[in-house]
Amino acid sequence: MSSLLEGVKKDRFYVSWILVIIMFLSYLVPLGIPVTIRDPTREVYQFLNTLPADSKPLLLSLDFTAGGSPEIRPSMMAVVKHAISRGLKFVVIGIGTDESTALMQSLFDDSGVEDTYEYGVDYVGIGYIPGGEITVAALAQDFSSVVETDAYGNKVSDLALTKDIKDWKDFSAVIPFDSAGVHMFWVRNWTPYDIPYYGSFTAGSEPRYVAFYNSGDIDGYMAGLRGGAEYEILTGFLSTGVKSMDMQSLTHLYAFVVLVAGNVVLYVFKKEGK
Amino acid sequence: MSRQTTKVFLPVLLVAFAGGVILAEYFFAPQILSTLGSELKKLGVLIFSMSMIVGLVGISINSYKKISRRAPGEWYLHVWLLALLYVWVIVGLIYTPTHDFYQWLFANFITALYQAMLALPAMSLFVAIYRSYKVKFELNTILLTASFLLVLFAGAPLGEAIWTGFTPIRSWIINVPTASAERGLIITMALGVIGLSLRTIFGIERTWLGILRVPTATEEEGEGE
Repeated sequence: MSSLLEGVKKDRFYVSWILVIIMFLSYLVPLGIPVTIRDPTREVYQFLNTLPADSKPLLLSLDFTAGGSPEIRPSMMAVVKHAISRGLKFVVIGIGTDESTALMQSLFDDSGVEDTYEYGVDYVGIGYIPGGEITVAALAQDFSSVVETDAYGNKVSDLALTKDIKDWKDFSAVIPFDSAGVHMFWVRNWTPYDIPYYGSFTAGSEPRYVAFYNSGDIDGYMAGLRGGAEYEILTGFLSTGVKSMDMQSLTHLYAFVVLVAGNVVLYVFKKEGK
Repeated sequence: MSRQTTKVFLPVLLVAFAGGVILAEYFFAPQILSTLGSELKKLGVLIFSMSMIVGLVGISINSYKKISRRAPGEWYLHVWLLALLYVWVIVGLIYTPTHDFYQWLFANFITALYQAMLALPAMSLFVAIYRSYKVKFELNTILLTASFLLVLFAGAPLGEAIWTGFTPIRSWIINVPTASAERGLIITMALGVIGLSLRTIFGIERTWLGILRVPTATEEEGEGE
């Protein structure tokens, strides 16, 4: 028993390193634990899958940070790839963080949109617009006067896709991807209008927005990495979301093991009177 | 103009006008209100953009002061801060964030560092679970442990693979008790925001001016002497 107690003294080292090993192994050797699809994610998929290709553009807002990227990027990539596969047009902006423009460019580079779509006709990248909630409110009422140029210096009034956009009525849906905690800006300022509203946010934010989903203000959502993985499965664009699911499962299991181990060790300590 | 007029009355008047117009625009239809509201929102976007420049100037002045007086233990950190800050500003101005070089810097510096920084608490979290989470047979601990296990197993696919019952339990907890508690919180916060906004518009709430109490005319005169 004394050897166990000796080992406990190095607990921080062991607990951390076992976590790292579990994460690496689960990524390198996927177990393929099945992922069930939840209703909110299915709602997003069904909407985009039935939206006619000649619809008004989607408004995608990249409101996540580089740090939040692992959790939100899978859902964003899957949604954009799905939109491209269906021929849906989209406008990309960002109001939550000034990293939006760089994240938007990496989205364009990695999604293959530049190979299949024509810029200005099928998609437009506005990038970051400062102002927070004021901007979100202003975009709904008077998009054209808030946004004058895109991220590449083109006037939006010169681009075929954006020249006729005046307000919320000129979009077929709004989908913010948020880890910066600004999703409520969109909920407050866009759900009062009659526009389909979807979103992606961190798993920790789900309890906050589920109330809006139940009331019908939010039509569907993808919660965290799991939501992204579900959307990847639905669309068939499998990527980091699905790959990370085994890692998430095993680290959650490891948390349980750590909890049990910690309490066993405490029991032993107490028994030995240490 | 007295100090009270410039430091209190004018700012309060400005906020009352802006807040009043935005509030009225939401409830009433006249075109003039809509136009005014729209212009004020655009002005808000502009002011927000300007605040970034103010921030840049502020942080530069603060760091310069610390560097010039060789603040012990931190002056070199401010040198590093300013160097990185201005490298990003210059690269951003020259290349813009959509350029390949900016993208390379962004992916290899900001993204990598940011994600590494956010991953560190995960290690501490596991160690904290190991060292601090002691299960006791008390109602609070039992409830906490049950929630912890439910989140662990129902949130990840493994839970559903072990027992399908996790999903409906999680769904009920999220949709019934959690959603109702959230609704209560959202409504309470909204009422609080309405109250605070009205107090600000009517000039009752003035702490945003940096003053807790407006000096009386007598106090002002006394200060002048």
